[in-house]
Amino acid sequence: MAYLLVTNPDTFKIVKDNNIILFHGTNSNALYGILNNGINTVSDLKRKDISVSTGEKWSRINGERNFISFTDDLNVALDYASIFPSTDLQNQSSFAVIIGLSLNDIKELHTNTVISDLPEIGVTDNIPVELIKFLAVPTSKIEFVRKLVDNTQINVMPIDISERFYYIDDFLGSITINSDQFQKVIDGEKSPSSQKTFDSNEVQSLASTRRKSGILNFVKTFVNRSNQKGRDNKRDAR
Amino acid sequence: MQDSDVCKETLSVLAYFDTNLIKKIPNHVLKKLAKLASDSNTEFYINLKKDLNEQNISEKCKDLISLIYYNYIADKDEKDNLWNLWNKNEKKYQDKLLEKYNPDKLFQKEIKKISTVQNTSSNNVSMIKYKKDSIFTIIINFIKNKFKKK
Repeated sequence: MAYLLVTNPDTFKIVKDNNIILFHGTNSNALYGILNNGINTVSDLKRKDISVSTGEKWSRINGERNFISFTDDLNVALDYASIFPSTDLQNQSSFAVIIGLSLNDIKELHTNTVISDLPEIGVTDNIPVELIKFLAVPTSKIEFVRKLVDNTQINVMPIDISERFYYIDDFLGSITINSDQFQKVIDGEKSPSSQKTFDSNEVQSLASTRRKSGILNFVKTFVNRSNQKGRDNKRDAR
Repeated sequence: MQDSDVCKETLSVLAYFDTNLIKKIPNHVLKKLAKLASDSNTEFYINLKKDLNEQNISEKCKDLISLIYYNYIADKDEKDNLWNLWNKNEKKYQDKLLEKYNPDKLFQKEIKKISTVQNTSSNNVSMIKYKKDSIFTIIINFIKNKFKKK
């Protein structure tokens, strides 16, 4: 029986319609790399000299893993999404990102069994962006992430720990709400990362501290470097 | 700081903007930033207990955020207001620089320095009266030294 936490009916529908059964939890520091390069194993990231932005628990404690961990338990994926690289980052936040893979696509990937206390499976291949069908982020980040995603096949959906828990039995439509867990969440503290936002006044106040030449210099160097980067890429391609 | 780091830091801050503000930023701007940010090996976090002005963010990131606000979010009045402020801040900054590095003042300072050095050196070579120790002082010092050795 798959154990699933679904935040709202739309998210549930996307999960069900796309046969999404495996989830990977990470945070927004890894998001930009994933949207550009897909998901890579820790060992592959190191080989390509790309930083390991977020958290495979085991990769931080017991060294690197040469596979990508997925789970069918959204709670576990959310736990992974809330792991911070160091304990001195109190009140410091990036937002949680849950990535979902469809059952149809998993067949194309090599997997292995992971000996672990958690319900998890190891995918030993790198996962290209095209195989990502589902990205779940806090409701307040939906607009932002939808604007970042270039691929129309990726559904960006809201996920909020303060909503409902369901058990879903093999997608046959039998749904039971886990009322105990639901109550625990209702009683518990709301996720602060989904509540904090900067409004127009704050941004205006920050902008008013700048000076003209600083802004213009920045534009000049930034645009020049971006153009230079484009030329270098062309040269490389030839 | 690399451009990719500035882009990633900026995105980390933009992610916490009100949805109404995010809606006004064109998709292609955010996509471009995300593409550049994907090369960054640095992690950025927002302090949830602090306002935007108190966040520990780089000057370049502040410039980029201000530029995005000016170009895509601010209305005409806000733009005029910001442009005036940026000019005013620029003038203040240039005045400060001028005060600090004004060649005339620097020259005056040098002259002052030289005259001070001359005064000090002349003080240094002034005569110091030599006081000869009396026989009692010599004996007392001799005894003191003996005790010290023990």
